[in-house]
Amino acid sequence: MKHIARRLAFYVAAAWAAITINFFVPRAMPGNAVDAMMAQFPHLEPGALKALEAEFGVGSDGSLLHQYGSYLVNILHGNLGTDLTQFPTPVSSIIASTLPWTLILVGSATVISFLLGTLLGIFAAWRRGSRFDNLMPGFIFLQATPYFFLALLLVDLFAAHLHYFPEQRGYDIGLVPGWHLNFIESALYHSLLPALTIVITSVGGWMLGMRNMMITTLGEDYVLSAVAKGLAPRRIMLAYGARNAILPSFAAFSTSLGLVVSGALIMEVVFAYPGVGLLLYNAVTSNDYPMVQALFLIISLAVLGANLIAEVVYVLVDPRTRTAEAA
Amino acid sequence: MTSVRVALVPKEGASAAGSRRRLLARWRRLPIKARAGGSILAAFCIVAIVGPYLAPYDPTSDIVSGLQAPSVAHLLGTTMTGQDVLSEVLVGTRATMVVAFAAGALATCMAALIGVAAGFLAGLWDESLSLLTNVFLVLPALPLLIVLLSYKSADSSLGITLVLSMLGWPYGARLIRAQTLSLRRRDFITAARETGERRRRILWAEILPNVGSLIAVTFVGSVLYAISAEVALAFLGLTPTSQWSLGTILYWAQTESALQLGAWWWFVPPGVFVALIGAGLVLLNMGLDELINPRLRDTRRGTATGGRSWRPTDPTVVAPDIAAHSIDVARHGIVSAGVTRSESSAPVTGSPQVEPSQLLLEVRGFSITYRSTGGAVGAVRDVDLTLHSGEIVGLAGESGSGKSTLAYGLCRLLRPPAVIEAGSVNYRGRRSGGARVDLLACSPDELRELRWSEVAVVFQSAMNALNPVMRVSDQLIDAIDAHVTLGEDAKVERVERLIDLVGIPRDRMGSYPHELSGGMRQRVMIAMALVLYPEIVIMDEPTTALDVVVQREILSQIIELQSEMGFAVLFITHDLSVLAEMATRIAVMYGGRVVEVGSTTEMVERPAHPYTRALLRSFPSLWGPKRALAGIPGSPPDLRNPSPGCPFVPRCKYAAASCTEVAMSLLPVSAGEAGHVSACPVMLSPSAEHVAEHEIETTS
Repeated sequence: MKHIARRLAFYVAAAWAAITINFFVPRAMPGNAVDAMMAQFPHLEPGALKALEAEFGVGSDGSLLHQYGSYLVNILHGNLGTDLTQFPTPVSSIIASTLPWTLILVGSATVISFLLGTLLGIFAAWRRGSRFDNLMPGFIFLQATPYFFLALLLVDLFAAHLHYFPEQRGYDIGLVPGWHLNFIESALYHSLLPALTIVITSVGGWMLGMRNMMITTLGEDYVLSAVAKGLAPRRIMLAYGARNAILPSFAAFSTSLGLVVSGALIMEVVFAYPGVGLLLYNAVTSNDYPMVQALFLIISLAVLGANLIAEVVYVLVDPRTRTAEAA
Repeated sequence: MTSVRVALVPKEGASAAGSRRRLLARWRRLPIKARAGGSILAAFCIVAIVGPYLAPYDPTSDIVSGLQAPSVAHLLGTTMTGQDVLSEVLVGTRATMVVAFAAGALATCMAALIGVAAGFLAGLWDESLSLLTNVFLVLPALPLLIVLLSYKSADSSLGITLVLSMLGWPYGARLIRAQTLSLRRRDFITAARETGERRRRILWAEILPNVGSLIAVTFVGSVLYAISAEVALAFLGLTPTSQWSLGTILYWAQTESALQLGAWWWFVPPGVFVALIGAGLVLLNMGLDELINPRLRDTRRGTATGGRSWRPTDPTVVAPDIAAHSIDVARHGIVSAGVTRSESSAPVTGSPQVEPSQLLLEVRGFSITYRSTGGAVGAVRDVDLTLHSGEIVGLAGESGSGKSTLAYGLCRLLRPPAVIEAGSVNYRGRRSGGARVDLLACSPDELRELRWSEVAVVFQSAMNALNPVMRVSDQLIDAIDAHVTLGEDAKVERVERLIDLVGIPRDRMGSYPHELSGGMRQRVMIAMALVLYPEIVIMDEPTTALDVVVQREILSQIIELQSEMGFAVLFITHDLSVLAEMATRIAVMYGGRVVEVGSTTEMVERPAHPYTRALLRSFPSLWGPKRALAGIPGSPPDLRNPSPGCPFVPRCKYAAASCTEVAMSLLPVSAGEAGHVSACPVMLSPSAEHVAEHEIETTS
């Protein structure tokens, strides 16, 4: 119980840090954010201006501490401010409509990449020194290549030249999003190439990590005792080798979620995919600060949530952590 | 993580030429991946330094017409506005590398500072610094970077460098903290603390050198992170687009639709440059990983794999006694006569009882060598050994004497650098119906069938030999499933019976290994070894890791089980007094050779080899009366360069001049005692006999 309380305290602290960074960064920056926005949006409505001033503490809204307090209260009520480009739509409703795109595509691509990379890593380690294992440098090169560079080359090849896939966007322009077959089909079709690029660029990292862990694990005594027991090779590989080697890989999965989000962001810019990454990019390039702030908060909290889930799953797969908790 | 002090920083040499040669030698010894990665990076560093001077054109001026394909004048063509791409890339490489390396260095400094401080100061400092690290670790870095840059704070490379390093440190800090913490707990630092050595000295002399390689890994990782983040940000147009870097070239190429216009020469070169730098960094990091984790190091894959009964894994053997499998059987062609496949795989019939004193295992001329780059180590030399049914044979010797290698070698459990050079291991068990099976010559499948059902092993450390994520009962059932077909109920019944036999409460069957005490784990290991009622159980120091009380309990239990179930035991230990209590016969090994074999009574009462005698005096008896203890001066022989004759000569007080000349052979000790043989001709001579008797009288 003590352990669980500690972990929960950690997540509360991390969430608080994200929220606080979000509050102070715009205020710590040189120059007046509101002035910058005024320049960007010369025809800002009076209501929007007032909302902005309150949000960034420009008006006469009292001390910094006071502002911080009302900011926290707002966030606890789910009030993330009003969007400037689509005034007066609340930021939260815009985010809510884009979040599923990112979650579904990036989530499934990441899980596929993790599973595939892990599987390939297991085989590379098991057949160490084989022709397959010697393909590793190729994967390293893929892993070191900037994501957007590879993605754009693939788009140029498969979409622009071969017309296998659509080049951009999440669905055909003419369609109205909704739960009907035309739209779902279109959305799936549009998601293939982005998903493929994510998998291609990230699978090497998982593979390398799993291979090295697996090699280390195969050197353990319990693998030797499995051999001495006369178990079938497949059983040794999976139940004794991979089952143990996957644990650190699993832990790495949770810490790499931040990177996953970052990759998604660039993916969405490259493909003009209607997710939170593109939204953030557009907000940044158009100085839509309320949106930037809200998106950073949402992304941070989403990563924290995913981390928490990964941690819970880890407890389920490693019996040793369960005892640590009981103690 | 033991030998982290690696050859990263060359020590200062006496002469310039000598140190250069040493440097070169060290470079050659680095893993190939580290050398490849280092070379790529060095090449790009040179490009970054001299590139801008080599650029044929000013990358900012529009000199020619736009979008020219590569030509002699413009090797990489021109951009939309007519700038030379090659010049841009050469200039851009410097900017990208400077930012990435500076940010990487800064992030590494922060990581080292925070990591070492947290691990070294411990307590509240550790708590708060770790919290800080973990919070930064879970915050999504790139979105944060974008947010920071969106407020126009970083118009300069310096600003970007600072922001990148601010977000790049936590991963390394976590690694370094963990390493510092484990170093702090290690003996030598605890000792240093106790001697009142000043903290600063401990930090500089003990901790920093040992986290050095980790700091190097962190640096390479941080640079990799910084370069990919910098290029991504530049590509998104979030860094100043008027300053040339590889990312900005890509930004402009994309903005001006270079690929759509077919101008690949504009888009591809900067991307490939980034990929190459990244690949160099990844390779270097993999090489450093191999330095830190020797199991990853790629030495030879072992000669023949001895079939594919299981996959070759670990060519470098870390634990000296447990080496790897890869047996070069085919080369020696040791195939025993009269063994056919049908005989060797005959099903179990009749009772497991075998006639007493039937010869079960016969090892002949067995030699095993560890072949490493540093030379060949003859760990086991020309050993003969027999094991009869129902017998407990003790195999004794100091660590490094080859006893464990011998035991693992005869069931082909050794891994790559270990190669079985010669010999035969003939087994006659119930499965073969009394016919001989040469364990070294049988196929992987035949071997797999014999393992555990005929020859089981109790490993030295049950903690390490039990799968940590599998319930104890499942590990026993695993062994059953691999060899016999039993119904679920029958399996559970069998497991329960064994668990009862070794004295573990039944409600612990569903436990995981870490939930059991050390003694309990070793009992589980023994139960697991007996679950298929094997003919032979090899026990590799099964009690050394336990405290004396538990040790005695388990030994008594082994003796009890053995007399009840009638299996034969090959018991490996360095402790002769244990063997004196339980063994039927004892074989003593020294320097890879068996130097004396005999019945326990003979060996204890009339040891005929000086080494046996020394061993007898160096352990207190577990059960017997007290006597004076004496260590054995000197150290075990260097098996790389074996000296001719008896290997014990340098430590032997009876050594004569002839000892180094005559090849060792086992000679009968006395006509009356069959089976007592010794390799010491000096002590067998009548004059030495007298000396020996006298000595025993005075020591007892």
